[in-house]
Amino acid sequence: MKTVQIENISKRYYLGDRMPNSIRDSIAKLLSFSLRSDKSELWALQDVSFDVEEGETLGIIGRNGAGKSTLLKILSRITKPTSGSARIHGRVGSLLEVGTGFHNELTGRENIYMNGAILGMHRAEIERKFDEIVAFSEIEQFLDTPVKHYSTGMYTRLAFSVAAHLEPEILIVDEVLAVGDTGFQNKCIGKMDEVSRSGKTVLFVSHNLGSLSQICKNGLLLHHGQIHSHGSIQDVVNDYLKLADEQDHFKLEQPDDTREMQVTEVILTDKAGRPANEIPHNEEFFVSLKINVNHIQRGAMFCVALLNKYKRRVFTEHKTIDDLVKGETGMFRINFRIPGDFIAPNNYSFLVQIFSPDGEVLQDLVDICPFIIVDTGSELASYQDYGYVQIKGEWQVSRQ
Amino acid sequence: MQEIEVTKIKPSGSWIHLDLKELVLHRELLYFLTLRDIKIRYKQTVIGIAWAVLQPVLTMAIFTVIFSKFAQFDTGNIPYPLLALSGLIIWLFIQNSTTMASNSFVSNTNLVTKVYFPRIILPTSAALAGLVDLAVSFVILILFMAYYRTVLTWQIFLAPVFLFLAIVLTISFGTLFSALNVRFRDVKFALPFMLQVWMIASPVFYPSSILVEKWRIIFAINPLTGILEGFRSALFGTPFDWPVIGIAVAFVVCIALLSLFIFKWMEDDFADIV
Repeated sequence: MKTVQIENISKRYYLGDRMPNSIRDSIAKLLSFSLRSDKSELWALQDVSFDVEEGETLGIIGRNGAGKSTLLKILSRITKPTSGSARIHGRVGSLLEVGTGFHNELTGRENIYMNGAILGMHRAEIERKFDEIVAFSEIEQFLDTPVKHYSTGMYTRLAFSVAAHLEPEILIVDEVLAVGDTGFQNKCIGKMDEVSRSGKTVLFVSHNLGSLSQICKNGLLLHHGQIHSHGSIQDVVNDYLKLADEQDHFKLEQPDDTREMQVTEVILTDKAGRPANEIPHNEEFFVSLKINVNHIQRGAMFCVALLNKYKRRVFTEHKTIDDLVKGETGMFRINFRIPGDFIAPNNYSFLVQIFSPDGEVLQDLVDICPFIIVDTGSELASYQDYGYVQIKGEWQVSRQ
Repeated sequence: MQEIEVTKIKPSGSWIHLDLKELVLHRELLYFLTLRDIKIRYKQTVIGIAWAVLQPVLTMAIFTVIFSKFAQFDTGNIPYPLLALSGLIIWLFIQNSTTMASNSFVSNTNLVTKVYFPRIILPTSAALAGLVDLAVSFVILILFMAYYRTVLTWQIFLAPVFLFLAIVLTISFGTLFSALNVRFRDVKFALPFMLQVWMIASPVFYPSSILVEKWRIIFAINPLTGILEGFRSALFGTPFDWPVIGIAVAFVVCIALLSLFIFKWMEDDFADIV
């Protein structure tokens, strides 16, 4: 049976000043006869149609701004589509955020009732599950303390616990697993897994491809508000990884031919040589540069460094330019290989520099080619951030 | 076998319909949100609920000093402090609750953008939370009436009717302004001013008998006139001015329907613009 049927849903948003925000603007809009160009409108979703079968677990992926959240908001009835329609058979529970409606001045106990009611639970239902919720959240002792005195961890644990005990026929979840400490996150993934195994229909949006592949059977890839692909989660994840956006690559618009040495282009490519900006954690990839050498200064250095999301160096590699181009001049392509299973899933960018022999910076490209190492199902997939390198360490145990 | 709920999602149509079944389904949310607003109302204040007593009583004292000494309204058999207090408990409820309700979406943005519920519940619960204050100040009024040895008549049983009208009026205005406030933040600045003008134009701290006869009917268009005068007649046993009360009832119904209509018309894109 089809639990969710979505037909040709589109959603338009107005950007910037098109939306009157005060009476004065409104009047001004009414008076100006020329309703200005439609440039400032944005179609967050365009003609999206798909069905979800009963008991299906569907992972929805896409880059930021692809329309994932808008889709979930429409299915949760928070906002209405501009055109198109959908039919949902069954009680919908949607978790677009944990702790919606939590109030700092209220106690843990009061917030459980409040949040439960907001998520659509009945009082009898909350009362029945109350002990379970409290046990799951591990905050028994602080039940009658206002949540403003809670630590962030306690707060999110309580919030997730209420949400986890919602028992709808269709569950819509947006990235709520991105909370709490790692131990609790595992618990949450476990709960999600349990929900999906119990035959419920689940729609799940996440950036964490690892936990998505773990929980979902099928996937839907949104790109610029349209369905790019729809099928088994593995195929969709692979499609997603192929979707590299050229914008993220560095290219000099006007190379300066008078310079002695100049990097004119930097792109990242995957193992097959295709441009990429999301790289599976277990695959090698390349930093591919174009360099124009007119004159070689003996001893000039070329350096590539990986920057983490705080723009601090993870590693630096360097080489003298005459070693690289073997004393010749002209345009060269240099590929720098970074092995798979080496850099940990996280957000990174690159730093590329050319130094003169006496240490002067001749070219300085900071924070270029932003990319993500994505977890495609490692043992650590449920963690949000586990550093910058992956190592194959050895555990040695002896009885003492 | 349980009946399966079917939700249909469609673009906002040109027809406005009020889904009563859905409101009934969400009645517990109304209860919890009202309870929440009551609980947090006086959190982190030193004197707490005593504010519900102090506000009307202090205002009454100030009015009494100013108007009974200098202006000397003809209040008939009713002592001026009672006249002022009876007007004030209704007025303060209207003023506070309308203000609270008008801010309900703006101050609960995350509720609007992250969960679905019939939107009208939010301003309604904010307005209803003021009922606790109204109840407390009503008790104070009873105490003052006992002090002034007011003789009660059967008419006292009609007092709740006028309180009910005041509540309906407050929820209507609160709902209307909450919706306008989502799109036009001008409401934040305009509303206090409008409320002030409204209070002066209503017989809150003066009896409507001071108005010139030919203006009375114009004042009656303000539904608060009928509500306040009716409430006082019920309390103090003076004759009811039925035409004025009738006009008030008619206007309250019109305002309620109009507010509901405007609210329903505006609510669909709250989540996108709040």
